[in-house]
Amino acid sequence: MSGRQAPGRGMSRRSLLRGGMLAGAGAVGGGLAGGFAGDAAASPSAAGTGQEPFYGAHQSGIITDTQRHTVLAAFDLTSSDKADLESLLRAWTALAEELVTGSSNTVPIFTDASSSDANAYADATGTSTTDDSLEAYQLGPQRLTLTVGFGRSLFVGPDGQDRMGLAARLPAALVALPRFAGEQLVAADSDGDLFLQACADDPQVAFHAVRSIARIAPDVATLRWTQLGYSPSNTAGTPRNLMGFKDGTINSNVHPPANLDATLWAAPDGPAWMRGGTYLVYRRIRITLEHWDRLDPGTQAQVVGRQKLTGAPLGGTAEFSPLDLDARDGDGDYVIPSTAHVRLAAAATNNGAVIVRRAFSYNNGTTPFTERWPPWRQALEYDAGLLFLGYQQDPRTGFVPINSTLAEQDAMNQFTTHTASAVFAVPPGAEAPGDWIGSSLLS
Amino acid sequence: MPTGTQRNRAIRLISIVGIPVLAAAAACSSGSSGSAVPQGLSGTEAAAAGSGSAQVSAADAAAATNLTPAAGSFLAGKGTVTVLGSTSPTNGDENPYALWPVTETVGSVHNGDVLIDNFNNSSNDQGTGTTIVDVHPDGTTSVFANLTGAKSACPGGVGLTTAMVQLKTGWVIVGSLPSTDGVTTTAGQGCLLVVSPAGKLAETLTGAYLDGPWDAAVKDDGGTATLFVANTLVGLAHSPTATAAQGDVVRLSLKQTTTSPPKVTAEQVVASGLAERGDPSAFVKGPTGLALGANGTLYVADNLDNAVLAIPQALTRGDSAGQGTVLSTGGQLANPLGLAVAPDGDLLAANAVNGKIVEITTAGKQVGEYYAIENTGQDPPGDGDLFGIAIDQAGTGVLFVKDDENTLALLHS
Repeated sequence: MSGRQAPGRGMSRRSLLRGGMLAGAGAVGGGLAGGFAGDAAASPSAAGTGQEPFYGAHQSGIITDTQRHTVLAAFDLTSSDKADLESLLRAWTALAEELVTGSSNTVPIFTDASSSDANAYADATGTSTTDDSLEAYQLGPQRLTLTVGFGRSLFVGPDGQDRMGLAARLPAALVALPRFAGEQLVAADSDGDLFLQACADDPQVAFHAVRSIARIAPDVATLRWTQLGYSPSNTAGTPRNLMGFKDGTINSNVHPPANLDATLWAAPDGPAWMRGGTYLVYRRIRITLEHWDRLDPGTQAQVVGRQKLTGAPLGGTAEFSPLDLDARDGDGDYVIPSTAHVRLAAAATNNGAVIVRRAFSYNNGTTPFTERWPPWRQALEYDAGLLFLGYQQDPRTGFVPINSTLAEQDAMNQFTTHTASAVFAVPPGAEAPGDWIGSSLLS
Repeated sequence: MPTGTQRNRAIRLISIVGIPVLAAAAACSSGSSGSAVPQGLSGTEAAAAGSGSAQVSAADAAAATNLTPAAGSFLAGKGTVTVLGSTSPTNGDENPYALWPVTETVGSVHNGDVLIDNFNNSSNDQGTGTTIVDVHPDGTTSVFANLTGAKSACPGGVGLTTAMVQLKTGWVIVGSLPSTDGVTTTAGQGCLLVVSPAGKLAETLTGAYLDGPWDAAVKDDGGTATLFVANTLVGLAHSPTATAAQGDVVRLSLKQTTTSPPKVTAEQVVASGLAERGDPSAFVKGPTGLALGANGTLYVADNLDNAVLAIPQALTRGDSAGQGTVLSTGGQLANPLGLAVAPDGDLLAANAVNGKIVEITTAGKQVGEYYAIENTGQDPPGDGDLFGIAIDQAGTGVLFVKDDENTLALLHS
């Protein structure tokens, strides 16, 4: 048994000794539940009152209407003790269910006494406060959703070895992606044992949620990468991505496919613990906006397969007109070109495969970059583009075949480069207070 | 690997055929009174096509002209492009340059395969690609050779060029014009790498006669062979802005057996004084495509002078012909790169500045062109996308690499 203690199951000696010196630290005095309850100052204000449900068969943040901001975070687990993982997920869930209400909460921090010597903070600042960092105080719920996922590396090591007794529970659908042509993946921005997706209508609320949850047990779950994203207002219709095109007209959380049980939620023939769950493929797709901006909108429409202004598919009259992949023009050429993005990504081109996307843009500033296509321009360019969050029933029949085609044939490839990647099993939701995300896997 | 046949074109040439973008935008908003065309979509490019404005460059205008292949020409009747496979190996190398249709099963290659090398690594730095891939007839791709191990022996490193041949004895000879970061400033002299039929590095050929080996052509007699190599760094300062007129073509006499790799037994510069230039985009420009005519004339794609040159008696001459004679210039040519000899003896040239393949008779008459890559992501469409070309094993189609897609394609009827 390690020296660390889970919140709600006791306190470490260190936190006990220090806790007495803190005034009004609810988590220390009353444990997890007490710490969240009954504080008048924790009530959300009138601001950002929209609150998304937390409990349910499915986690929120998947088909939830897209919020304006997202903070994605992946963590690496430093422990190989399943009990630590359970403690962590119980604490994550407990804090998450409070955060989505917009309340101010103490953080159910637990520490790893055995590794305290390695903690640079240990002697310099003593035990961490559990107090709320407060930057989201009185901002309200802001439709915050928190979605948790498990990476393949949580189950098995690089050579397939059992990591912590979970290898037998590894879903076949939680694949290691093959290499796709043209990708330039940054390992430090990819993969991860655990995943946390915070979405909210306020950027600081989303960041506060990740920041708070990351504080719970940094000795157990270490941040691996974070990525911020945003989506413009949808009051003018389907939001536009940085290419200037409407993004999410079909097969998105906003306009989902008809039968989610057949396309989104994990299939019944998979592991029972994933019932109600789904699989997420994350790709950070850098778009060479400098090159894209040189093209006139008509040519851009040929690349995308839709009109820039209206979002109508080429040959269609309105945004939601069906794709006519067979239509040909007077010269006998396809109206939607053979290499147009919408054609190659369409379900009809991919044996019916469908992915439910949440569309966010990202902007990480500028970095030196070599464009992937003639004339291989080297310059300081925008590191900006799209956060592809593709939820699906099974990446083996969804993302993998679709992207295999896209990576080799998509006319859009000369403007896009995949620079980060991850796949996560997103388990079912916490059904009710007391339940916790991951309980189906670990119970 | 998904393969696909496309009829003529994947992305149409809006800017060339002159469909005003403004009109297209207006048309798609009709019927929706609430979505007027934004003022910002009335850009100059909409009015440019066909209006003679500066938006249409001379290169654009030239690319928009047609030369329908003459009856009886090799290109006549060929209007279908089929993508055969990906040229991108697992290490992420990109930017395919040379291609070589394999006609003999030897070592790890089989009749029907196409060997293709890559000039860029996965970061797209030019002059750093190390792989030769093998695209099989079923559309799958495997790595024939990864020549990373030659970096220390080859001056400057490894960046595989369009200079690639396979000898009848099975040995593959491939040029390296390396850099460390994709910029001409770090270009190295390079070398020729000899690769066994099993894909293993066997030999590194270096010498004063090699300085930026860029393309090659071979006359292969089995135990001996004559290899022509275009050098494009001779006398050129290694800078993205340098220019020189010292590019040359060297003739190497080779001797080999199936078990001993080729050795250079003699060397002779047969062409010289050719224009060279460092380039911030294309890395380096200079004499590129080489093709040996049946009459012993060597044809040289003079990229910067937009010409195909003829070097007479190239197999036997004991001196340099200088720039030789101009076989063809201008017209449909747009800074030629790869050259191939068609079964009827005509030359096929791959344009650098647009995606056209141009057919030229040995009398110098341009008799047809085919717009093989009409990618409007480049301007003019297909600019920079073509490089190596070759006649397929059946002798009926033109194999070409699509640098914009990292694929191998076949033009056929």
